[in-house]
Amino acid sequence: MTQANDAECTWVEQALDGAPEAFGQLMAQYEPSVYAYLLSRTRDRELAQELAQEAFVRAFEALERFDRKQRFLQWVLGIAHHVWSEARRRRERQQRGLEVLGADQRAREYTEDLAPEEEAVSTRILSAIEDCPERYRLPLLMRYLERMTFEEIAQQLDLSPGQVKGILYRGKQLLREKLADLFPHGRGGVES
Amino acid sequence: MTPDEAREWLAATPLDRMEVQTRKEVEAALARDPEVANEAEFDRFVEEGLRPLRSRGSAREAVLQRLRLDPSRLPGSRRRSRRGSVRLAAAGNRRALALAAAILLCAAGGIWFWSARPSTPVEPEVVEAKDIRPLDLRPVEPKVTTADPELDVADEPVPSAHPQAPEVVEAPAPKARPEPAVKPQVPDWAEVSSGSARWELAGEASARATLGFPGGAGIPLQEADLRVLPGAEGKPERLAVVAREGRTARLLDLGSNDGLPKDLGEHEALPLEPERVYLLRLEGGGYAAYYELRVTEFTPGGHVELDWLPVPTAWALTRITLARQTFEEAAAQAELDALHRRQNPEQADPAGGGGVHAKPVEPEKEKVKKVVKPLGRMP
Repeated sequence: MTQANDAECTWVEQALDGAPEAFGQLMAQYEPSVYAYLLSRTRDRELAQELAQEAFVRAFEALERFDRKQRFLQWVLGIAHHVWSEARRRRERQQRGLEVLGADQRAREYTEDLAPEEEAVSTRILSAIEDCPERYRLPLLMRYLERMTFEEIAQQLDLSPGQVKGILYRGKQLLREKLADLFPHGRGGVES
Repeated sequence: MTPDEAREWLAATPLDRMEVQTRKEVEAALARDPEVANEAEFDRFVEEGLRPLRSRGSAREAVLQRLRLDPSRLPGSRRRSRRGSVRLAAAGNRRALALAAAILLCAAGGIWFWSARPSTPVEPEVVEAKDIRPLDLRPVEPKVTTADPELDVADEPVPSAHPQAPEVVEAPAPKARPEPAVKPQVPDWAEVSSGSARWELAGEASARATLGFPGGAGIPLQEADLRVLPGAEGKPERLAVVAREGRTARLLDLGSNDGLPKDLGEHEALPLEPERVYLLRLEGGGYAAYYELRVTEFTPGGHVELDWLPVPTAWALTRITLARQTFEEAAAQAELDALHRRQNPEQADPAGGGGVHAKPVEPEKEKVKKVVKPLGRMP
């Protein structure tokens, strides 16, 4: 990733001048990617959304330290990773306390909302993506979870469309292998 | 469109996000080539499989609301603060230059003079009060626990040992409470969803009040009914919560009789007592909120009054964790004390206290400990 683009710099400057709405533009742009990243880490939608909020609040507080030489997404993903690490450590350290109403509880409540087969498929696909090497995970989630196009992914990750194409092609092959039992190669279709 | 082109289009863009004409051509190619159709089906399979996990785009509005409601988070104010720091740094540089000049003058006056004197003391740098970060200067003390674990559910963070202990350490004033470990933040719906209700239960089977956070700014309406249930004699005895359809609500009691936080689901009830504090988690539509419920009035013979206030999730989870930890620490300490008393019966305190930390507990401290509430009110 290289430096922030003009739009990012403008939004950052406006936010620093006291306009939270400009920060909202940055969020609108990058929230799906941050959420996708956190979901791949937490496997818990509610927790991922909560951590994404926290990551953006911290990003806003630290906006002055944003280095224009890097992309905003790269920077905020670093914050998101930190927020997730903290949450994970906290959960590990205070496992019993959090069990009362913590992530596990939320995960249970969430999965209670889904039909069993729906839950199984979601979990399997997410696990398969998480089992892929690091470089494929976020692009795959951006493509399949947030349904971004090549150009959008390339723009956010500061890669060329050709690079994204290659990454997604190989990522998809890996994914197909991991999901072969759910979706055999010769399968003709899935009822919508 | 050839099958390869269709495959490339499919890889680049989800089918339903393509332009109409492109989509028609791709679909025609799919119909002709089962291999490509299979690729498209796999994409759709994965997309559909992940659909329940898709972001609801909720963070944006919630974050903006939080930022608007808490102007101290605005980076602009930080920037002003930083400018102040820059001015301070500049002033520091001037002082350093003046000091260097003074040293040079003194050196010109004679090195012997300097060798005979201690070095010039550097004046402490003046720092603006706003830049002074509060230090945790409390000495690390052995935790004083009471026999009753409920009393140990204190509204204070776990003290941390400061790596550079100051020379003079003042013991904290008994009633001065430190900030909670996670500073509470007012959620965006605080203004509209705090409230209170009063129940007059004479002759009624039960009475209810509704609390919740309303819609607006993309937040769906969340509601739950608080119910006060009478006991055998028609007096208010228990508190229950029932969420509206599609929502979930859970009551948590931080100060139950055994000191353990309890998570009660719907259709379960907690005993009502004066001054009792509960946490309520209300969830639905992708949003969740914690409320603090407090029994403000309670007359065993007839009426009860409750008020509620939304509290941040992080704060609520911290409170739960601290309550749990404190209870566990107290239990472990009590076990250690009991073990020690068994092994050293001659050192046992005849009054029943003591143990490993056999120092007598000062009566005043004991008194202070007893007034600690299970759950503190947000400032």
